[in-house]
Amino acid sequence: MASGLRRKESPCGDPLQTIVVVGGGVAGMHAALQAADLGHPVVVLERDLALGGHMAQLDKTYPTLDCSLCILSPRLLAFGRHPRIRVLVRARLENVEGCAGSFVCTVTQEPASVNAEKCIGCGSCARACPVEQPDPFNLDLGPTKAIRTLYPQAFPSTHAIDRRYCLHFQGKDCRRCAEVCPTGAIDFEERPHVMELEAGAVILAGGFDLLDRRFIAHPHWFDSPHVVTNLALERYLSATGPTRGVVHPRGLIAPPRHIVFAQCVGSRDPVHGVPYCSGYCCTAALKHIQLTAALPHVERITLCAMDVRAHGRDCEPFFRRVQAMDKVRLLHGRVADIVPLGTDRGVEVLASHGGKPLRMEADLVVLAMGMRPSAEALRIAKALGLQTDPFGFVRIKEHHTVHTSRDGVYACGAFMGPKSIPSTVQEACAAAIAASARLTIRPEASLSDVPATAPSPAPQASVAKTIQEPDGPAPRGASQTALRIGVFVCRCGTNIAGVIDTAEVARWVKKLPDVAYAAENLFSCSTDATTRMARIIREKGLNRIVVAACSPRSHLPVFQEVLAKAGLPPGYIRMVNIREQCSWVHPDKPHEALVKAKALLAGTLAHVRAAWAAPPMAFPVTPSALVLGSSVAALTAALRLADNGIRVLVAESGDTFGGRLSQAYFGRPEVNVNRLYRHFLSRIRTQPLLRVLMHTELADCRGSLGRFHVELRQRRPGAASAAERIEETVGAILIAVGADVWKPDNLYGYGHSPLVLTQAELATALERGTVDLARARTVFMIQCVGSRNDERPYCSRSCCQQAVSHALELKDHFPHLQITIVHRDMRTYGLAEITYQKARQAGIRFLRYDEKQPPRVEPTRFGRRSTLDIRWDDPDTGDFFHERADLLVLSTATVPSPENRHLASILRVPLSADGFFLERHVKLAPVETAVEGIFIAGQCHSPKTITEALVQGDAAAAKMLAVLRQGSVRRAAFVAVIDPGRCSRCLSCAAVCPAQAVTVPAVGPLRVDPGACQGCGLCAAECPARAIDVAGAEEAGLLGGMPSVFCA
Amino acid sequence: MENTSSEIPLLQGDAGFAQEVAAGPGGDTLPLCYQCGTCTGCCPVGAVDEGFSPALIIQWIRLGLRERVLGSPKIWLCLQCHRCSFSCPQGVRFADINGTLRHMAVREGFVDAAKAQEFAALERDLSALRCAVLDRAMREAPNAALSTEELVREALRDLHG
Repeated sequence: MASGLRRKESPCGDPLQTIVVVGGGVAGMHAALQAADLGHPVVVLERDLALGGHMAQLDKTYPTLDCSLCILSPRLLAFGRHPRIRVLVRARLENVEGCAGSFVCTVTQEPASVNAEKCIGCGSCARACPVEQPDPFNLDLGPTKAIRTLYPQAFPSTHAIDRRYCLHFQGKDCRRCAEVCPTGAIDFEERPHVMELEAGAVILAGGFDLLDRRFIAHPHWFDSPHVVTNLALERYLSATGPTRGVVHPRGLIAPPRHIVFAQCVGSRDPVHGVPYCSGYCCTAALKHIQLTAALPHVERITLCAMDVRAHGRDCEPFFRRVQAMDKVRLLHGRVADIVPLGTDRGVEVLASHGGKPLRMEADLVVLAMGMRPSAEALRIAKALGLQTDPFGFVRIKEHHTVHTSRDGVYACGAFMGPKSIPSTVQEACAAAIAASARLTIRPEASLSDVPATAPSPAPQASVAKTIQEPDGPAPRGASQTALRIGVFVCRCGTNIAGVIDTAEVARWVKKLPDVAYAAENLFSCSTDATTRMARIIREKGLNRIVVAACSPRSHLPVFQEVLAKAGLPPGYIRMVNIREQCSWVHPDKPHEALVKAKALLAGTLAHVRAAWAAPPMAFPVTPSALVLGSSVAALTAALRLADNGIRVLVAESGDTFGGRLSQAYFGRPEVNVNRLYRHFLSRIRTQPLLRVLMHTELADCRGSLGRFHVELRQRRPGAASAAERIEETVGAILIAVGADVWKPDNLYGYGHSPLVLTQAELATALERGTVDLARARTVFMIQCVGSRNDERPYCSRSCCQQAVSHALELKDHFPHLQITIVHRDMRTYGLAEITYQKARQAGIRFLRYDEKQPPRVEPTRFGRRSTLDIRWDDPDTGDFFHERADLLVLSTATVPSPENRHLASILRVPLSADGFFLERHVKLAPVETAVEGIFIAGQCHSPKTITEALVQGDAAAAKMLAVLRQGSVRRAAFVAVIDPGRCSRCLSCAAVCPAQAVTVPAVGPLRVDPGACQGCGLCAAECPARAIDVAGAEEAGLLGGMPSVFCA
Repeated sequence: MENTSSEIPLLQGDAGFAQEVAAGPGGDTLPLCYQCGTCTGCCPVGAVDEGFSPALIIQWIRLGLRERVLGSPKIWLCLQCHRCSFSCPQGVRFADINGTLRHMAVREGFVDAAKAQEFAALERDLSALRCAVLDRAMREAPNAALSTEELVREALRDLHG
């Protein structure tokens, strides 16, 4: 396949618009999908056999404990279906020549010895292969075959021969794989390919490697079977792992009873390992504790961590839950050594607690391995001549977020520094839009020609995503024709078929009335299976489809698309979940699981018989956007959208413009806030598509994605007259109203003594030069003021970094000062750890306090000077201290803006328990909300640093631009319909509808706007006249299915 | 609050103390300590005396507890094996810092100079005894192992004549 790619011949589209993404992990995947959604042809280069990276190796993800592959696999499937994405696996980027806009990338591809065009991923070859080799996907903890795919759900599912192990390549006479392959795909003669790809931009998502024994003080730890890495624990926990989900590593005589989690192995250790914090490991350990604590054989869990860095969304409540568990003990400190106790006895762990040495016996020690840039990423950085930092992470241009030192080459994910999955996803989207910015063909008319009143036609018509209307026969399956139900039973590899006899299910269901076709699939969601399904639907004339597989939440869109392809309305499909609800929960009772699967399937058959569906409809998208707020993220996104030809209205309700940028703030090491603010101001003044309204509040919002009708009210400051009303129609809305700094009135003497400031006030004073500490001697800073308590159980994330950089700033100006930062955990995650180290080096003192024993502050006088009297308990020594301070700076909580509640109720976007806006998915959809077309970015989502807000603003702009460029949106397949004969206009439905889809005419029955309806069914449940039915949850179908489900 | 402060002895740090210690050998590494406790965990003295903790002594220094540190018998317990220095992720050289503390303790009169000489002599004798005991234990046939007490007695006899 790849041999066809040659220079001057782009893989799928205009070479100058093509974006090459290097790396197929979570960063590369999201960058590629985003770039393709923005209209660019994309080529993804992945070194391994399939996409997924490290995330595919994880069992569950923090903090929702979602199955990692279950949330990743819809993304993998999107790759298979996306017409603009080309994936090259086993490929490596050798060199990039040329300049931004016209690169030539030299790529080599290792031979698979399997023809990718022919391979259907059935796995017959792997079953026939006589050779067992260590499985690198399972960290060599279990066996795999010499011909294999990376993991069961892998995309692409093309198998590949490992020539180091294959008997044929060892000169033996073995051709068993070739003998069993049903499509004759085995090609022992395949040679490596070298190809040259033309591209306009390159995004590097090289990912990370875990640190290894070379990076720790005691490499002999790895020699004990009782010591495993955290990634190995993930594999042991995983159902596809070497022990199939049983935590019983090789070499242990019994499953472990006492598990010790050792944090910072190699990280924060400039002497033996790396000086930075790897960022991910604390939360990963908390997740592992939660998962292992649920195992019956685990009696005790000890977490050894210096600072528990649970700074992400929803992480602090999780940490509190883990701390409260009976089995769990938290030790403040590092594991000093691990000593084997002999063959049957586990190990002795040497640590310390409360200033005393502590020794404990453990059956299993889990090492939190730090991360470093992957070897492949380092090689690429060198080959491309990119600047890197001393640790090998790629350097980003000053005042940029994803731009490397080479023009046209962008980076995202752990290649830029250690980070979590949500940050990686945001960076990937930001990199995609940054790469896209230079390549997009401008609309014919120059920007200033766009009329300000009428919305301009979709400017990117040439690259706009065309709606895939069913191009086959007209939608059929009207109720008059006889029902012909097709049932597809999924084996899901061994996930379902390992417990349930899926062949038996298919045989049984075939005999039921109206079932015209029934068969099983290996993976129903794989590309070849979906193509086959569409063909079968057409050939057999099927008009209702049931897929017995996994969750419709993740996979329904996949099969709806199959129906659309086959010319059926997408509403004529039902899914029944026989994986989560049968095989996964009843693995020990295969018979009962089979009976349950049949009962659920019978109920679903009754359901699908009652299904009705309206013909597909499409609505035009207004190419304009409303940005609420003028925070860092808001301005980033607004400018990005305007630069791409979208009309943007920025509405700021307050009277300060620029959010945190307008305040002085010191963000070591890289952000110069003043310069950034000036940059934004000058860009906004010169961007004609951008309109800024100050003192403007959102008053009302109706409509849905593509056509939100918003009403704004602009106050005239000083004028007594009523506010001015402004009405607009926009295609998408971004909420980026920022957050507030909490004022700790009456706490620590704030408000009573002029010597007590907040960090924000200190920054302003420093900026204005009004801080005079020439005669002062001591400065104290107190962390977590108002954060991480019962009232606000979240971490404000940026304050530790802010305190450290302010302390360094003070030390620069007044070197004689003795500065003490009193904290609960120093959360200088990632590369910010280096600044923390610098601060200690500069003589800044860091002391800990306990949540229950906060420092006490009283204003007092010392001679003629007024000072502060500070007393605190030191948990490390157990003593009670007393010192005088000349200045006290409080790191106060970041609190949600009071606007949030008002906006949430108008836009019907949910808020988190803390009052911040809730994203659609904490890991993989961090800028989308539950309402289609409404996005969030910046501190209104959760506390974050300015750099993180810049990235999230770009990510939101990328998502919005992809939607706005589509030109039109398809309506949801499942919508509610009101029976006009029964409706009595009681308005119950209109009151509960979260999408505001119910329109109330002056006379006559109410109607549901199919473009806005999300098919949630609240109205149907509420309607007293039972006049509402919802496609996808038809009352007749649900009731009809009940007997089969309950009477089985 | 008044009650608690009268019941619990309030300690007031001596800010200059940490700076004085930092001026001694290895003292430049002192502020790098982030209290991870690796030194305490791997210390061979801590393994036999739970009260001995390098991390705690460093914390006392940083809090300016001059009398407590210099008057403490703990600073004389250190074996000077430097295991803490090798293990420390931040490169803090506790064993060297401890040497500074002993000097300061003598200089500031917390310990009599003659007494310090005695400690040094005792340390030498103990080292000699340790070698003699281990040497004897090695030479014994494994199945005819003697108790520690007997080994020490015989080693002492060897040493003194």
